[in-house]
Amino acid sequence: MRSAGSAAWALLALVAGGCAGGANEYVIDVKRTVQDDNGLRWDATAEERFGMRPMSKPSSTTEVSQQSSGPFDWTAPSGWTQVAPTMMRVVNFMAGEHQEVQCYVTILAGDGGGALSNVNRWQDQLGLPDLTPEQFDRLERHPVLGTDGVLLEARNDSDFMYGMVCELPGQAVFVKMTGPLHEMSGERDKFLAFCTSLKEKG
Amino acid sequence: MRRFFNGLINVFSSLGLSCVLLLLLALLTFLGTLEQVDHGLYEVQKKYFESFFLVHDSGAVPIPLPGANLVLCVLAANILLGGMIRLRRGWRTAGVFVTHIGIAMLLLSGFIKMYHSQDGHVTLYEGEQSAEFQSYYRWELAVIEEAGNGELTEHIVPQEKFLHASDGQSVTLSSPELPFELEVANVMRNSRPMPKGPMFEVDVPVVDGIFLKEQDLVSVAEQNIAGAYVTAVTADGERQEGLVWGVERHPFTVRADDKNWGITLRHERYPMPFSVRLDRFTKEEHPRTNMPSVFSSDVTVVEDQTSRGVEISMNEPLRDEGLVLYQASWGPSNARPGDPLFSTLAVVRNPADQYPLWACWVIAIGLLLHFGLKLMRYIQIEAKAS
Repeated sequence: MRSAGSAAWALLALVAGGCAGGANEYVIDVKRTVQDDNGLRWDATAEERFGMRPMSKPSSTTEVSQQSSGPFDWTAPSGWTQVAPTMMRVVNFMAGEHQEVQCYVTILAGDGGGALSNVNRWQDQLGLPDLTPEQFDRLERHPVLGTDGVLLEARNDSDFMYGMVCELPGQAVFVKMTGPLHEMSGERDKFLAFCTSLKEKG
Repeated sequence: MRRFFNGLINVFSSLGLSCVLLLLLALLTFLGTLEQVDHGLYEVQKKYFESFFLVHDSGAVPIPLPGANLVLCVLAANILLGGMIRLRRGWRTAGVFVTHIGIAMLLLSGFIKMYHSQDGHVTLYEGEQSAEFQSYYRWELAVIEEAGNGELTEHIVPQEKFLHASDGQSVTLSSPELPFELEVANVMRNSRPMPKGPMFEVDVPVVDGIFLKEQDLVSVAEQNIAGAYVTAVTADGERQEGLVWGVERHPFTVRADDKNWGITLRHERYPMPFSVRLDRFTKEEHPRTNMPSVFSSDVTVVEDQTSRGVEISMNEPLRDEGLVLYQASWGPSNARPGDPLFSTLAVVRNPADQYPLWACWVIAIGLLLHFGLKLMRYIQIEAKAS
């Protein structure tokens, strides 16, 4: 009986010791030598390491738009040309007769700062006054990504903007289309068709 | 004491216990199959089949159950005691004895597969070559340094040593061969690097304008991509912080001791005793569809300065040096005609690879012997009677 008790204490001490000693400190003891087949890069930037493109450098265009990019599947309207995604733009298009219209999807964590503040940031970009909460509540809603997306339509003397804000659990998705007035006619339906075609991948 | 021991042997060798164990296996298979709908194959396999105990969540009442691992261990003891040691020996039971040996071999092959096998894949574009394969699920941290002559030295940390470093916990990794200690924190089992925008705050560090966003675990385990924050702390207290992410293209580089050190999080890698080079990937499609009917890989196996060509197709794996390479898949799935394709070869290192086949032969011989003897006895009795 006494020996059984001693054994139990010894076991307890062993378990406690094991938990306290090794859990958060570890000596690396596995080492191997391999051929550098792929040429390891020591100077890669964060964007290169994670497969992101630097901001504001939409570069190569692709003739055939793919139906999937970033975390989304979608259907591209006719006349839109998909361009390479950038750091902030997970889906990225050029549109319009002279390809002066930009349309892109951005994802931000949480609520991305809130729908109203983002809408007002867009208003500000066109030199327009902020919307009041009442004006914001009157904006059109469209079903996008399983939620009611808020549609902003704004214009100044030279430019037009469509913006869609979708607040999802844990993230906010923004679809924004901007371009000169003469290029934006007829783009509203395409913009809405694109927004409503967005689906989260499988 | 002897009576207790005998009683225990009686229980463990009983046919009743065999029936209970087989029913439990059927129940675990049924429940595990249902659970796969929500939790995916990998998680279910770990919970129901590789465990000793589990609690099945049936909704209102949680049900504690023995895991398939425990059930199979007891079944092995049951077969050993009841079907082999305590079996009445003689020609009449010779077939039963041999059959039980075959069943025990099946159980042994499962045991070896579970504890001593490795599986993963090697994915190659045409012209690429690899002498290692990587796990679908398991992660490792590697600290890499140049070793000269086009070689790299890798210091490897298995996932058990750092994957728990979340919720404010951190893990310190060190080695006498490294000029810094490595602190690992904020480990996420599924994550995505994201640029930090100006309009929101995050509760994890932001490095070079990028932070790791934790994602919900998905049921298809191989789609979860782990990520972590690592900090190299040199002897003079200098700290270099970076992010590592499971599918990053290049390692996070630390400068210490006038040298570059790469730190990367990746799927666990296993060396192969030979290299495989993909020479040509061939894919034939069903007429007027994009569905492949046949796909195969022409590879060159390079080993000890010798090389030989092998075709690996869907039902013709390559077996060599204890490894089996199967044609598993190809991609990218959205490739257009003319785009380069990659071929994925599933790789299994299983010392008991052929045991189930041999076990089936032994069982077949045992059953043949048993029913053959029965038939002979029946014929003899009939002959005597007539």
